[in-house]
Amino acid sequence: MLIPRPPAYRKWLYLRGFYWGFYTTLKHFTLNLLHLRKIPTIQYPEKRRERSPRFKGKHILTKKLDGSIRCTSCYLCQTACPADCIKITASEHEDPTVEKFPISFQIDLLRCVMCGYCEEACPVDAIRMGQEYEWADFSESNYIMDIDHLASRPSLKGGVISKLPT
Amino acid sequence: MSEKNIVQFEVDGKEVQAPKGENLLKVLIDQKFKVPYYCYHPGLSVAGACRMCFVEQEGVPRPMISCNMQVQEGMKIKTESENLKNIRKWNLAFHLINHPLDCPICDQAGECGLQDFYMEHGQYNSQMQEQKVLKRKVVSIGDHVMLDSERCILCSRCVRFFDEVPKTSEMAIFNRGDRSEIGTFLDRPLKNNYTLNSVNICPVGALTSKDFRFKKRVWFLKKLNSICPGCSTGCNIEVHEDPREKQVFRMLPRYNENVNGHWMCDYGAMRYEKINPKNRILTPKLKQGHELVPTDWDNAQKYFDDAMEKVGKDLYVLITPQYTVEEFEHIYATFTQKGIQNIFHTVDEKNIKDTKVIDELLMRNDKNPNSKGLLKVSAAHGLEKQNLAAFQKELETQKIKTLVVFSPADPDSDPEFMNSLKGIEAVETKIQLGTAAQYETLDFDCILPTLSFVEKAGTFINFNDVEQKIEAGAKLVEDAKAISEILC
Repeated sequence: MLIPRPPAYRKWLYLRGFYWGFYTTLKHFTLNLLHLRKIPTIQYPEKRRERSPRFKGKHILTKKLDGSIRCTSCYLCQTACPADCIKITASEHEDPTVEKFPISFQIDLLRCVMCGYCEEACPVDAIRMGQEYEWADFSESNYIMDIDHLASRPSLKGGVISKLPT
Repeated sequence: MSEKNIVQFEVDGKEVQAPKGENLLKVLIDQKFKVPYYCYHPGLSVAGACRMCFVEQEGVPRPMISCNMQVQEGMKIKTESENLKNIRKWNLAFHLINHPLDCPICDQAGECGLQDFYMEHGQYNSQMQEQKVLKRKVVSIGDHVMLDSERCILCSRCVRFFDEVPKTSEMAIFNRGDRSEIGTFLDRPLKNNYTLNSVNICPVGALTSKDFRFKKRVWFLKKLNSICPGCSTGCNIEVHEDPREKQVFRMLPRYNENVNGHWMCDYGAMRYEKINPKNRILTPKLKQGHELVPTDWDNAQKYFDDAMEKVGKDLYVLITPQYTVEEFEHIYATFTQKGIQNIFHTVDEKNIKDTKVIDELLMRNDKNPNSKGLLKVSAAHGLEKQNLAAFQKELETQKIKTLVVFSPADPDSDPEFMNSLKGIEAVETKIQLGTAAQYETLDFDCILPTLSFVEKAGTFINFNDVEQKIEAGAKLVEDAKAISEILC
C-alpha cells in the first residue's frame, strides 16, 4: 500500500509552536519577576488562606453540654455516605433517657470524599465538617479516625459543643 | 370454592373479586390498595382500635373502618377522597400526640407503620401545645422483649396476640385515657415460647427484640426466603442478613397457611446465631500430634481423598438429618457408587412418629428440619434400617477403620450427639464435615467446613411430608465448601 506522506520540510513546522510557547513562558516570567501584575500568591505555610465557614474539612463529633458525645448512633450518616467510610457500633446506654450511644465511631479519611452528606443527614447536629485540611501522614492506618480523635483531638481544644436543644 | 361464594364489588372504580364474608381490609391489602392501618393483623381478631383504615361506601352517609366490614356483592368502595385524607391526617396527629419521635434511636425505624403512613398522610406541623405524657422506657419484659410505653400507639395487637395465639393472656392495657399503657401484670416477664412474634407484629417501636436491639438498622438487611432449621415443623421464615458484614441478624416468620400461619417460636427465631461465623468452623483442620491445626483446602482435600481411597469399601458414614434432601442424595449416591454400604443415619424413629406439638403452638419434639428427607433418601437406597443404634453396635465391635461424620449444624438439636459417639476414639481415621464449632472439641483427625442452611439452596421435608425450598444467600464463612464440591 502506498501511504502519501507530507513533504519533508513540513516536519520543521513544529518549531513555530515551540517558539510560541517559549515566548509565553518568557513573557509570564518577566511579568511576574518585575511584579507588573498583582498575583495573589500566598506564602504558605507562613501565611494561610481564609476559608469559608462552610468549608468541608476534617470531621468533628460534637458534644453535649455535659461533655458526652452527642451522637445517638442512628446510622443515618453511615446510610447517606456515598463512599462507605463511616462505621458505627451502637450500644445500650446506662441512662434510659439516652438509651443508645456509639461505643465506636470510625471514619476512614482515605475513603471519604468530603461531600458533607453525613453533616446533612445528621438529625441531632452530632457530626460536622471542620476547618482542618492538613492531614498528610505516613501510614494508612493513621487515617482511620476513632471516636476520641473525632470528638476531642488536641486541635479542637476540648471539643465542640453543640448548643441545639437535645 | 364454588362460584356462589365469590362476590364481585368495586373499589375505586376497579372490579374486585373476593370470597363472600371476607374482611374488607384484608382484601384491600391483598389487592395492594393503599389503606393505612395499625391495629388490624390478618392473624388476629378485629379490634377497630386505631381508626386509620376508614373507607367510604356509596350509599352510606359516613366513612367506616374497613377492618370491620365484610365484602358484599355490588358494594362500591372509595379509598381515596378529600374527606378520607382529612380523617387520616387528623387521626395520625392524634396517634402522635404522645409519641416521643425518637426515630434515630428506635429499632423499628425503617419498618415502622408510623413512619410509613406519616410520609403520605402526615401533618408535618404539630399543633399540640401541651407537654407530652411521659411513660416508661426500656422496661424489660421477658428474655426477648423490651418495652417502651412512650412509643406505643395502643393498637392492642400484642394484647390480642397473647390472648389468641399462645393463649397465655400475659399482656394487657393498664390505666385510662392518655395514661393508658401496655404491659404485663406486675411487670412479670413473658414466659411463653412466642414472645418475639409480639415484637414482629408491633407496628411501632414499642416492643423491640432484646437480641436485635441496636445491632443493625433494618435498611441494611437483605432478605432471604427460607425454612426454619429449628425443628421438624419447618416454619417458613425470612432470614435477614448483611452480606457485606457476613452476618445473619434475625429470622422472622413468613406467612404460610398450611405450616405455621403468621408465627414462629422464639427457639426457632434464635437459631440464626448458630450460622454466624463466631459459632462456625472457619477453616479446614488437620490433626498434627494431638492438636487440630488449621490448614488450607488443598491439604485437607488431599487428606480426605487419600483416606477414602485407602479404606475403599470399608468406609463408615454417619449422617445427621440437618442437611438438605439434595445433599443427602449426593452423599448416598456418591458412596453407594463406590460400593460403600455402611451409611448410617441418626434419625430417631420415636421422634418421627411423635408429631405432637410440645409448646403452645408450633414446636415439635424432633429438632431436625429434615428427618423425613433423610429417611426418604436412605429408603431409596435401601439403607433406612441403618440407624444410630446399629451404628453404635458397629462401633462397639471396633472394626471401624475410617469414619466420616456429617455433624449437626445446630448443636441444640441433638444435645446427646457427642455422647452417642462414645467409643469413637478407637477409630483410626475420623473425618468430620460440618458447620458447628462446638464439635471441634470432639476427637477428629480432619474437620472440613461445609455450608449452613442460609448459604445453600435445597429442600427440607417437614414432619408432614411437605417439601419446602430454601434460598441461598451470601457465603458467611469464606472457606466453607458445599458437600458436592468436597465429595466428588
